[in-house]
Amino acid sequence: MKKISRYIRFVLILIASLQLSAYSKAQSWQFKAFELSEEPGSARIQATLKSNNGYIYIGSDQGLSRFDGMNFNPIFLPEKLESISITSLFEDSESKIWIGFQNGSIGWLEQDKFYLYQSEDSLPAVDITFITEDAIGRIWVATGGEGIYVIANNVVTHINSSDGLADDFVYTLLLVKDNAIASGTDRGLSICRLENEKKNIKTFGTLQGLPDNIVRVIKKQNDDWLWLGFHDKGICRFNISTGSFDASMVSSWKYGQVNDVLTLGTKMWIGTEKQGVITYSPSNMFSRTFTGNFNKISSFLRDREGNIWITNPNTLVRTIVEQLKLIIPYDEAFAKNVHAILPDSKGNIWTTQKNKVICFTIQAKEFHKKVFTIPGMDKVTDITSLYEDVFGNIWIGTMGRGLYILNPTAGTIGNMKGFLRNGSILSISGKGNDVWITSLGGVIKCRLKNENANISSSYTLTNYNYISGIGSDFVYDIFIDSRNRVWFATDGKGLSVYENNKFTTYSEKNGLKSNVIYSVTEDRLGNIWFSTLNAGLYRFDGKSFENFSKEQGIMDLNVSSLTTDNSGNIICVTAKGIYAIEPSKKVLFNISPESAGFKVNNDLNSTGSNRQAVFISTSQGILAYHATVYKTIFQPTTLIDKISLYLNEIDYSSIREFSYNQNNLSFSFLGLYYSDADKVQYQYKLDGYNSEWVFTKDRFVNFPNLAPGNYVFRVRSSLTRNFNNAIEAKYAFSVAKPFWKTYWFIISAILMIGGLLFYLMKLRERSLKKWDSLEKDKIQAQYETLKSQVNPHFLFNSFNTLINMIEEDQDKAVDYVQHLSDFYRNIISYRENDLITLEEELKLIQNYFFIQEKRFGNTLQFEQNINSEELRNYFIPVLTLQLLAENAVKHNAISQNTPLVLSMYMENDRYIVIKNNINQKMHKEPGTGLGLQNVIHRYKLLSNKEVLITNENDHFTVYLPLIKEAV
Amino acid sequence: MGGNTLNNEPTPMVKLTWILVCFLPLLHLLSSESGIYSTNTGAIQFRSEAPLELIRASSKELKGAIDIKKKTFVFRLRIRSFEGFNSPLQREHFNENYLESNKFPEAIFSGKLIEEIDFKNDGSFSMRAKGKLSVHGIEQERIIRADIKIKNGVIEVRSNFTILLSDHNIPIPKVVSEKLANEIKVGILAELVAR
Repeated sequence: MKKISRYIRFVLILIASLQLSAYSKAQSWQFKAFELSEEPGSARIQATLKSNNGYIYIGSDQGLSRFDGMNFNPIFLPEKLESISITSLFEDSESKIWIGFQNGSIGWLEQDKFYLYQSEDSLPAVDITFITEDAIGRIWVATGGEGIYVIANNVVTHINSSDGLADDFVYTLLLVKDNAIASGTDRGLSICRLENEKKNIKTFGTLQGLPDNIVRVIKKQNDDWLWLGFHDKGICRFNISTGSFDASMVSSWKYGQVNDVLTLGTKMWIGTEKQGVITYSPSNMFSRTFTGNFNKISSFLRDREGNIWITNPNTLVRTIVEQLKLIIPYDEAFAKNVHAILPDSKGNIWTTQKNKVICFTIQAKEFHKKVFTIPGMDKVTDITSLYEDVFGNIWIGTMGRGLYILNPTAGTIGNMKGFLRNGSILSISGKGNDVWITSLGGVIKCRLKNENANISSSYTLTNYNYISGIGSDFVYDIFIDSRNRVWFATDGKGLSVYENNKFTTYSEKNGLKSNVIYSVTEDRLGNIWFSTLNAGLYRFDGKSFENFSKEQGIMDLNVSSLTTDNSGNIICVTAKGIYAIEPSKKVLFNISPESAGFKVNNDLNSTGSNRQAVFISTSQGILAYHATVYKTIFQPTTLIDKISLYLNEIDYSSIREFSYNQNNLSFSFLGLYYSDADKVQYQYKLDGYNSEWVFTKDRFVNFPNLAPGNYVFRVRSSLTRNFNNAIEAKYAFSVAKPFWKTYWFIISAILMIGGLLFYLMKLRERSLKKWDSLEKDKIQAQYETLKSQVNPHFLFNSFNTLINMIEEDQDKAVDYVQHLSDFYRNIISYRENDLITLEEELKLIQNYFFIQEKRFGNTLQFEQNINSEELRNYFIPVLTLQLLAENAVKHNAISQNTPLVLSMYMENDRYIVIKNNINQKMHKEPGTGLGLQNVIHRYKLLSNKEVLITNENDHFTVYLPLIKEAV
Repeated sequence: MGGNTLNNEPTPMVKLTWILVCFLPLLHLLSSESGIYSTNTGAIQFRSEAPLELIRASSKELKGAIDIKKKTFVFRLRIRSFEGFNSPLQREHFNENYLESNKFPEAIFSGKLIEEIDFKNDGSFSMRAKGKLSVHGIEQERIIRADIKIKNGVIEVRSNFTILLSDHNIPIPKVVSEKLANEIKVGILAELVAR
């Protein structure tokens, strides 16, 4: 490091040639037009709205549509509407979109569903020109001929000229302080207040200082000042607190009717009926802004990306005129020789052209060109770099001819060739009094002294080279950061930083993918960004390096130039386009439109910047990029547009649960990004179905046959393949299990089946018991009967009778034995049955009586009083009558004096009655009493009915319940 | 019914009639005082400057009225009153084919005055009139500027404006497209006096 002082060797007086060029080159790429209808002129845009969720709504004479950046999607209005010609749109604080129609109808959209406003109060019958909302949520509706209607819930208040409104034709409304509404009419400005039905209106006309009675536009500048736009007199300012006008700009207006006004910081755009866009700035007053063929500007709109939209009768036009302007056009041959761009402190743009430097001065829409030919340079040698020092002198670096310093006001120039080890300069940069020059022979620092305002004074220089620690003699760029650290972009040795008199070098050893560094800049957070050869760019936060390359969306990894724009974004210039990176979110967006058709000059010094703009040399001329301060989003906003169930759209704001067979869902989604709508790409993932994000360029996905479960549909959109910072939209939903798979169903089914089984078991058990018991009783009855029949007494008596009969009448005896044998056979054949017909039972008992009659003669009588039909139809437990008859015979004394009369008859159709008279035996026959008990029990089992037994009036009566059906 | 009223209090109908009879002359007086200015003999002329032909016609039958209190106006013109043209046939075509003056016999411009003007004292002003211009049955909302000169109680209205035939659904056949301009230049001059 050797300090040297040198004088500039010679100072020449230059005669700069002055040229004047017209600024006229068409910049059609600054405008992108979207026609509302394919047939030109068939639909007229009459109202526009940017909604809170980012959409642009268009109201035309043919209805309502929503613009998504590519298409106008119609929103269907009910067919019963008398007019679909929309003249006004407004979104209120509850996100309702109010719609005013040409025929005076008013409606609103809520969740894309249309509602017509209806009221018992009178409603407008002329076109709705404007809708707004006041501070307490009342909707103010301006009409073209009926004044203003104020809607508060169901009450409509009408304000018109009879209330003091300036005129009934109202163009526009604006909420101003103290909850007043300023209204612009055909005959002046009215400030309206509506408190408790009381109308308080203050009107300003030409007599009160209003420049023009027809107030078409009112916009807010701040709480006190409003901008007014007129039919005839342009614009003026109005102070609402004092009621005074600032009409200083009126006299310069010569552009006719004002249709809309858009404030852009201190500047303002004025849309006119016939003269396109007029730009107003306090210093410059009015100037026409190039808007191509669009001379009628109906209205302006600004989206969240900072794009300005202009509407023309049937076209919606996005314009980037504010962001990207071709300020100095030139042809490709000229462009080839431009190697450096320098915006100086006076607003001039300097550039190079072989052995000349050219200074462009832009005034209004024209620019002056001042050409300085560098003496001593041939036409082959190129100028490589330009720099303006603190004194306003221009430093000019050349390839092979060293350094020149130009005093642009005096037109003098000096050469410093001899100072340098090598006369080839790569770049010049600096900060304050330090100027850094990189040459093929190392780096030189020049500390400026006050006398260096005069370029013929001596300059103090310090040499640095690879030996000093930079690492390389080839340095492409030097950048002095906010902490006065000096960064060196070297060719092949990485990035060096000079801090506290010490050099530190970062290279491939520190993880960088390239050792060739092109350009360095710093963001507002203090991070250093640098570009490389073939490895994209890096962000260095002092500790680690973060690489930005193809994955992050940089299509060209040779970023020739990096700089920071007026809003703090990092601007990357590549041959394939110009990108900006928002440094905090690290989101990249394209700022050169594809349709532009210009080629970006990727010479290392062909980009320059100042506080206002970044200037970039292209094949068509110099572009000025000015970041719009209104840009609030840098990436697409992801919206779920539509959800369909079996392709039928559903109201997804309320439906989140689906039944097991509602399992075919489709999602339409959208990444809203008007600046580059066709670049938007998507990733979606259905949590519970997809395990990975699925990449797509479609805006639709269908999930057929979703299994029951909980799902979250997630979708995100990005302009690049990098979705790390993408905005996500979600929809959580569930598909229910079919009811037979639900826990409650399974549990209750198990319980029910268990209960049923239990019941069946119980039932079976009971019936088994019953049958058991029945069987037992039957056996008992048979046993009893058999016992009685084989009773020795019965047999003894029967045989005695038989003996007598054999002696008396052998034929009868045979008959008797026949009956006796029948009797036994019947008992045996019926014993397995439970029930037999009365007829059968009677046959049984008749055999018995035949036998017993032979013994007792006519002292034993049996009477039966039941007809044969009944005998066949009614049933009786087998051997019941037999048992009862035996009982009667057994327990009664039977003699000539006391005959035993046994009778059987029906009673009340309910009972078969067996009755006998009682003749107590002298000695009671011992009985088990089982016979009667057995009868009672069997009846209970077989018919569930009680057998009644009475023993009174010398009669023993048994009432057997009638059994009408065999079991 | 009639018989009864003769002997009793007058009916409201009779009262109203009396009031009208008494005040009608006064009302008439008031109307002239209230500021209705009118004319029946205003001059109007138009020019069609097409590349191959210049057509001119004029009329002196422009009727107009301005209510300076209400700041409203109406102007009417019988289309058939236009004279001039380059030939009688041309005039016939004008009435039959283009303006269809049998169907739409009148052109009317009525509406309101935008500027606050002191009609009481002599002076000159520039004034805009906004209203509906009906030509060929088609209404267009127009703001037309006029120069107003007030002298000795006479309002002189002078205005030059254009009418686009396309705005009023008057088609120009291709064969005469070089002979008939879409933009018709119209000039009026009318002196309105208090009624």
